[in-house]
Amino acid sequence: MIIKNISIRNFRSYYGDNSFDFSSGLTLIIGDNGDGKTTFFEALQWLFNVTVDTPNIENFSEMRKSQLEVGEMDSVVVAMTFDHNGIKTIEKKFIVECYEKGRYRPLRQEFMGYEDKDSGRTPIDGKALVLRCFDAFLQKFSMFKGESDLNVFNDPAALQQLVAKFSDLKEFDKYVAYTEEFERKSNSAFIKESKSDEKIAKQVESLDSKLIEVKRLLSHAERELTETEASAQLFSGKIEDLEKHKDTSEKYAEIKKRIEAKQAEATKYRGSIAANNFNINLLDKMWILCVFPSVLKEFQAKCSAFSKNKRAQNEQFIKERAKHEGKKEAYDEITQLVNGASRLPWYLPGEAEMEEMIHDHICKVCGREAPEGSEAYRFMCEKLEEHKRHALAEAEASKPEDQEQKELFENEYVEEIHNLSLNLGGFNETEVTGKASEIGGCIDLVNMFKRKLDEVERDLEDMADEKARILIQAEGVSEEMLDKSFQDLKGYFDQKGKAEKRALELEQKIRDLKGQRDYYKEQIDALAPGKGQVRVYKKVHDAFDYINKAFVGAKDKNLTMFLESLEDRANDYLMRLNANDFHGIVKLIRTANDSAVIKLYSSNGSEIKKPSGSQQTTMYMSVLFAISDLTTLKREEDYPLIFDAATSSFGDAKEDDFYNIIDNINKQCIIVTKDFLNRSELRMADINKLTCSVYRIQKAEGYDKNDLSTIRTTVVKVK
Amino acid sequence: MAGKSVGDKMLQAVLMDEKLMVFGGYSPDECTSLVRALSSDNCIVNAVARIIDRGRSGASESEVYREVNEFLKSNI
Amino acid sequence: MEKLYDLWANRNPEYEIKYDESIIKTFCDYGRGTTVFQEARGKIFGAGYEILIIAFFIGLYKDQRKPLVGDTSKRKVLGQPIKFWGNLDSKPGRVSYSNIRRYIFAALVARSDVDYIALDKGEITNRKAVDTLMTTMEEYINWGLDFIAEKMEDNPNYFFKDTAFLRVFLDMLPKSATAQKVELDMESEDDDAPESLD
Repeated sequence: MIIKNISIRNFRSYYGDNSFDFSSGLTLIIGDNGDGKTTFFEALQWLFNVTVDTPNIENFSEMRKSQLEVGEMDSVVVAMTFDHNGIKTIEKKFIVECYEKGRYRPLRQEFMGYEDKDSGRTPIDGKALVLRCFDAFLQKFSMFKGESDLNVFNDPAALQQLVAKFSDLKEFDKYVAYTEEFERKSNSAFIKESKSDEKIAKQVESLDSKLIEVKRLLSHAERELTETEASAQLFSGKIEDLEKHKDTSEKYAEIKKRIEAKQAEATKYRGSIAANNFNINLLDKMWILCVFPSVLKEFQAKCSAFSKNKRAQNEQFIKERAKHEGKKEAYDEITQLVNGASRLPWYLPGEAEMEEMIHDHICKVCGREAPEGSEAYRFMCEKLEEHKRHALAEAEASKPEDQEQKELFENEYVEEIHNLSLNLGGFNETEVTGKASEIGGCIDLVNMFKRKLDEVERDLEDMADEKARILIQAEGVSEEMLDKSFQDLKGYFDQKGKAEKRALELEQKIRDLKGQRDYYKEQIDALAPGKGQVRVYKKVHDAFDYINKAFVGAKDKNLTMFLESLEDRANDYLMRLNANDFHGIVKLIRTANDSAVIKLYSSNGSEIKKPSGSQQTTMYMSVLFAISDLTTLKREEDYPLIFDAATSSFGDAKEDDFYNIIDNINKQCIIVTKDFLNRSELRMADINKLTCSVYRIQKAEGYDKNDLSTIRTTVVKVK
Repeated sequence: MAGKSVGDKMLQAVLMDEKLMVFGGYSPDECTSLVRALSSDNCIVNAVARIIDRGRSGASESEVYREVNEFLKSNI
Repeated sequence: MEKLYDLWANRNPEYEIKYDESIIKTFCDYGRGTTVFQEARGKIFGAGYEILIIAFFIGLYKDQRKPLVGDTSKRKVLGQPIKFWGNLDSKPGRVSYSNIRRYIFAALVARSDVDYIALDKGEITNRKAVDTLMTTMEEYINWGLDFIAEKMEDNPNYFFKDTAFLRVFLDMLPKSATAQKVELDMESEDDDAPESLD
């Protein structure tokens, strides 16, 4: 069977229609944790599940659900088209209806099959198609959802199933049982016949009863031995576990420490991010001034202008005032010439003296008498009038100049604002002009913290993976157990010791009993029977005995041969998968309960007890390829292998070699992996070295990890 | 191995048992074909062939025993 | 002589009551006694005047004014005059930014029509000058509040994102400025077209 196409519609994170086409070689599906890798498997498992008929609304895409209006419906569909003696399709689907706001119900689930015939596409029963082409057995050996699933013989029944399906001789169990019965019956017949022979009857009787007793004890002892050995095995296992876990719990403790450190780092980053409240910074850090520079310039220009203007006006005013004072002096000089009147020379009498002289009718300057009515008297009066006029005129001229003593400006607001302008300028101006880049720097810093936080959170996810892997490798050991103390170890040693001692005792006892049994048998055989018939019955019994043993041996050999051929094939694949690297040898070792374990050995024959992650994966995969070969041989048709490969199983150098080899193996493989991702980016250079086709599944951007309805997986064909 | 049926393979696997071969006194080339073994003169070979053949045809344990037991009693 | 700055700082700008519930109380920890931790009430800012400062700068940078409504019953003032703005009494998690007052004052001087020469000559009173400055301030604030109100009508959630207020201002930076417009880590829903700078 070759898978041609898988399409997934609205199944969990696969919102809308998503489609994968597959070649007959390898197809890689690359995705990170949480991108939808596991969901891919679960979609297939859902598709192949023929037992559950009721639809589960949990499988419906949250995103699609959140979009449905009342009355609207949409479907969940998973379908696979494949070639199995003709093109066929199986499709499982159900419909979801939003019947009230916020309430949804799933409608009847359908399981359809289709066959492409010449006449077109004919429908057939879906379930029957699955059972025919891809039954539970095949699914078990073809789909491996998790890393631990790869160790296929972890399930002891698995080998039985394989043998039953594929070995040549699967009915051995039945024949062994039959021939055992034949031996028993023929023995009874022989003994009975012997007892009827008078010659030997008594001895036969006594020997036989002893023989029966010995056989009873023997089977008891053998049963007890089996239980004791199982017990010892169990304790051995527990000790091994604990010892492995000592390693594991050391690793575990270490990773817990690393996780704690990372979480502290994350907290630190979160704190740094939270400390930057961009709204508050507008005020507290005055980021609001980032647009201020032009306003500041306006302000400075205005202040400067006013300041200049005021100074200019002031200067003008002072100049004017100075001019006025100069004018006054000049005026004085001018007024002497203008009205013609002249000041009396300093040595001449002033107004008071002149009035006195007029009154006294005598010029006290020259001494001449000036009686009333005389010319001298008239001259003195005219002179006095002139003097008064002159004095008046002078007084007039001097009046406006009194006012020039007041200042032009009584306030200093212009200076105040100009000072502020100078203050905000100069060195302080950078406080404003630098704001924009200060903001930019802070935003960059916060973005860097956010990026670092993202990185740290991704590291934490990887570490959680690692922690999970450590737990898985501890195979069924829970976290509490890893934390447990090692008191248990001593207890297990004791128990194991006791069981082993007991086993030795029993083995000895069994040897003794077997010796007794054989002795009695010989005794019986040695009896010479009287009746010929007795001899016949004995021979018949002997024959059945040998025949039974031959069947037992053949069954055993069959299993061994099956394992050997499987082992050979597996080693073939191992060599190819490892290309030029060291590969060691896979051995399939039988265990007590007719199952097997897969172990790796080096070429000198010693076991590699702790193979690396990549060695383990290639080891398991080579066994799975070998098993798959058997199906091809047996059923004359192939089936695909679908793996979830462990991450960083391979050193980078090995990747493209490894995948290209798989692509060239004549087998269809689908591998879902985290390889080729560097953070969230594809390593296209390495991907381009691959010969196979490659898909990328990824959570679409813009999701809120706390809100499922924002999460969707996108599917992109990369190569 | 081509052309061998499951029965042939089973027959061969059983008859190649050393102890049985010594007891029965037959040689390896008598072990290759179930059909031939069913008409073999050697009663052990014949008996094993019958067990396998009747078993595959769905006979019960007691039926097979009855037949093979009688056969051996008469021919051994 | 009293400084003009001090006379101005004693005053308290008026704003329209209609913005009290929708803006002041929405973004500020105002009314019914302020708490020590404003986060306790989930408000973005502390005292009421803080949003007035934001609104002022919005109006200032866009150079748009809106006169206050004439009816005085529709106007009110907040508790603290300008001289206390930014002092913050060292509230936890906050830092005092009292210097902002000087810049506000400088902006008002730049954008108000006051003849300081006439003022210095005593031809106009300092009271009249401060009145003019206050009117400018109130009108810028009023326009800024209107801007905020309109944006919230379009998208009630707009200003509740971490960087919404900052972005309003960053969008106003000249493209050729030395500080490039920085890309902020915002969710994709808030794609309002940026306001034109006219």
